[in-house]
Amino acid sequence: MENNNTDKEQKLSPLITDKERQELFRELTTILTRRWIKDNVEVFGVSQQDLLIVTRVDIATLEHILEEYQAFISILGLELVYYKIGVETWLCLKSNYFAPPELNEAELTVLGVIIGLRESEKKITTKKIKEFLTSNDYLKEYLVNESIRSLTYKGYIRKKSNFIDYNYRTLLEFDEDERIKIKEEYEKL
Amino acid sequence: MEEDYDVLLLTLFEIEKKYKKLLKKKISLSVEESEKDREQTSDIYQYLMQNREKILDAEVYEDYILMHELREELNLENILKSKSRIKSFSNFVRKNATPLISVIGKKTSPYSIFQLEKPEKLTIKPKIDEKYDFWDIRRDKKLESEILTYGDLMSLEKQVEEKLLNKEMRKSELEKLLSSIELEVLSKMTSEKKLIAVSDGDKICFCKPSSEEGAVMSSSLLLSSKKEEDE
Repeated sequence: MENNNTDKEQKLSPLITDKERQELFRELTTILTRRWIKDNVEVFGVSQQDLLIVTRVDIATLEHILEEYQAFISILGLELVYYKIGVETWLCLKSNYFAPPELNEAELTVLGVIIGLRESEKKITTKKIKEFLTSNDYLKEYLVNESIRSLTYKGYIRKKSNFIDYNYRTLLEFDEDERIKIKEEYEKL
Repeated sequence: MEEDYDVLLLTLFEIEKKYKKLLKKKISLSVEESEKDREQTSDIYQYLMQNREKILDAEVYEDYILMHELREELNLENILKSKSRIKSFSNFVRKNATPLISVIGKKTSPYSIFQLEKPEKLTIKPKIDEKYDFWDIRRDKKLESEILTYGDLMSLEKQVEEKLLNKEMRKSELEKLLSSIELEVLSKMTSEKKLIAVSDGDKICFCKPSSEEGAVMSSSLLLSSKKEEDE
């Protein structure tokens, strides 16, 4: 394993000096932790294509750089993750440990119910979510509507031909194991 | 109190059952025993008549209390349980997230502002300190100046005269025809009146000076050689 790492460093070293690497890592951290609005949805980090243009290196070199960067940020408890927006591949940083997401209580409830429903059936409608939450007097209808809108904007859910589906952020922030746990907890409600 | 009441009722029930059984089987009972049962029944009756109302009242009141407690419990359960349940559910969702990281500051910017220059569109603009650039580029190069001998100068003057004497040409043609050094020599020749340049519209004519020349207006012309140097 150590030998492999040394090999990678040796491959990179003729291309990039230590000083350039430090500068590149600083720039990568800045761009990978930026948040943008793209088609009225929040997105994190940068697209792979734009990163290639900015760094002006070929794909293989970029991959080596990102591998090194991944090892560097893992010390900080962070992880480099890839996700898809349409056909584009994007990169951003994610916490390696459980931490509170930036959602309020109502949004967390609605997202939890969506996960609970979506894990057992493929097609879930807004009506079904509303029915569950309002008939049990858990949330008022306006609060459900507002939470759905906010979750859509923040990149957690998306509408796909009148059905609600996960967007990239739910899949990144809640792994499969966590989604199943949430589903089990939802069933106890 | 309640236990006594139950015992008495049970006793009555047993006596009643005993007699029904005996009557059915047509078995006669002794007067003594019958009298004993009758007395017991009478005592029970007396006791029940005294306490019945109290017991019943107490029982009803107890039921009222129990009903009240049950009602309160159910109401509280309806009010609080859904709220506390949903709160703990949202906390569960919160605890299971590994969030994406973004820097603190203005939350979002439109992605369109992130205009990246494509490599083919890249334009290199001159730096402000061009003087520094000039010397930086030429740092390793030797700066040489050509020193002409008198013989060289004479042959150059002859060369220029051959090219220009009694000829008319435009400024651009002149710049293409002569090299930098030849232009320098031309400048020297005109200042020493060895050759006279006369402007005719946009053309320049070169001739030898004559003794009949009167006063002429003198003006200068800036020329820079565009002649391609032979390797």
